[in-house]
Amino acid sequence: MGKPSGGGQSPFNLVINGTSNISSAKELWVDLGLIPNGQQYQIGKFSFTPLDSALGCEIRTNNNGKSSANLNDTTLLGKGVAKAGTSLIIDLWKNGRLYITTVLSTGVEHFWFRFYSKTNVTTEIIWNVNYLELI
Amino acid sequence: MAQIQPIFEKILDGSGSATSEAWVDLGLIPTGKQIWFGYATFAGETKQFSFEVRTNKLTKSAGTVTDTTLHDYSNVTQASVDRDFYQYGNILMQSIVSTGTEHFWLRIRSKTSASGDYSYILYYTEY
Repeated sequence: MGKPSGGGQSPFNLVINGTSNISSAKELWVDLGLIPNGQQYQIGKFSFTPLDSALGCEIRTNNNGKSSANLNDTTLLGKGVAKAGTSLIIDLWKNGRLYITTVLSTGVEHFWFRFYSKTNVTTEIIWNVNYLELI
Repeated sequence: MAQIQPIFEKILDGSGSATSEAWVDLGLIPTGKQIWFGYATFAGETKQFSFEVRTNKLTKSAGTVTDTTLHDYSNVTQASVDRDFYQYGNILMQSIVSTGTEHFWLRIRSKTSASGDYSYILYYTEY
């Protein structure tokens, strides 16, 4: 599927749902998976709910040729900060006006959630991401 | 007249600490180009912050209220706020056409003087 044009439907037919726990820490990286060689994902939206503490969430893709979960080896695609017990949906499609994609994979790159706080927190996090394969 | 349907393909993000006021230089607008703002997420990570999206007036380059035009204001406390500057094509939020000196800016303010952390991500295009 090619680059979408204005106002059309883009079927973000893939979804990953999960529950994670961050325990007395400022940061948690969740591996959303290896992007298969030659593939690229477009992100439609993501949602997260930190049940017990305020928390920030970033969705990131590895840079070309990288596979580690750290700020240097990844690029930020979207983010939000939610209060405790509050769900946040981040729309990265905007009816076709945004085109937020992962790297075109060479077979090593992943995409990630980075949950973070400025202080050590303990919370359960319910999250999901909707996306599609571009290639 | 056909309506332009932009893709806001450029992304700027950042984070920092501020007390009561800070100006973040988002960059020089290239000569002959305009910034067309699409969307943003602003976060007051640890305290209340307001965020002003501003661009320099023609031939100006300083990060001051006098030399800039306010395009959008939002405020958030220990959370994030999403801003839609496009509204399905009903808003045209743009900078001036650059003469090669003008920048676009975030003016970040707080009611309290204690240091706090903020972050942002901005989606836009140049044309």
